[in-house]
Amino acid sequence: MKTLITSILLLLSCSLFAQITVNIDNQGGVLYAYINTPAATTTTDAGTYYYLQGTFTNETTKNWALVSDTVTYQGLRGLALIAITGSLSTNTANTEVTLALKKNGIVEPNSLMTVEIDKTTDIGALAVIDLIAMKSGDNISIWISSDKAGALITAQTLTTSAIILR
Amino acid sequence: MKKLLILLLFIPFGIQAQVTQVIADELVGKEDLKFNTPYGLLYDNSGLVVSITPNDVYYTATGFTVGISNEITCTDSTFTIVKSGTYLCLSSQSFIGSNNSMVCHLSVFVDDVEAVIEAERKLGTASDVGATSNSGILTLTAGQVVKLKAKSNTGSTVTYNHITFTLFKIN
Repeated sequence: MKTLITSILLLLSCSLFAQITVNIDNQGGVLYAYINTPAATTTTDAGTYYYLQGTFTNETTKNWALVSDTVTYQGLRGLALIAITGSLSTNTANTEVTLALKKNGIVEPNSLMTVEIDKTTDIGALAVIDLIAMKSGDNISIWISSDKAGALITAQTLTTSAIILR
Repeated sequence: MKKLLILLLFIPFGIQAQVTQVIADELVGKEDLKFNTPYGLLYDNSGLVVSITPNDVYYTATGFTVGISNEITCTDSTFTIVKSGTYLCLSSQSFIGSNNSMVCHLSVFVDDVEAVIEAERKLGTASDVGATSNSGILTLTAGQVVKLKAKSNTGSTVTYNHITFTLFKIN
């Protein structure tokens, strides 16, 4: 009888440990992705956000899925530190370009960052740093707008790092 | 004996369920998304203006919107530390100046002492929109006040079209 009870308790302990392990594994998250093939985004209307064109490669991921240049958090819940650095060019002189993050399709107001590109031969650089509360299934995407209707904006380089802090 | 065995079977299940729930709550946070780490976020998209005269002296950036935060006291210009520790400090900005040829600086200060986490950019013409960012790690104690200050070698104002200022505890 003692053996039976001990065995049952051991099995239950293993089950408890397994559940805790699953919870721990579903915490955290790391993503590093970058544009490997730049492409122009047409900002048809001034002041309107357009999905940033370009093909991303993801180098490191845990609990993030990169699908069609949108990243979806697959952990349970966490606070995401997102850092984006990029260099941008345009075919239209004196263009102000604004980059924004959208969470589930809605602009994150604390993610906006603008740079002015004076000449078509210039490259403008900017960085976006944001803290965003995420839960499983939430997605993040990168959008840009310009103050010149019809301007073509190209992210010559762009890196995205997303770390779940807690 | 059978009853005792059945009871013993149920007790661990109950304990398991409670312990699992407690740990799960602790791990994933509560529904209000208050995570168990001190952090703070200040930002502005409305054109935060910093007067910078006389020149070459740092002036505090005020007028931020307080974003998400936990265990850091936030105002429209400051973070006040609640828990001592090591913090990652991040800021990104886009801005214009009041004059041509302005060399603009934005630096992090702790208790009004510069922490040398600084961004610098020259604006060729006043209407240029320049973008900069700065980041660093700070060892902070409870009660210390962290803020951003701006200066320039010329001109009267720097206007931040967009600015974010983030602090969170990493150790």
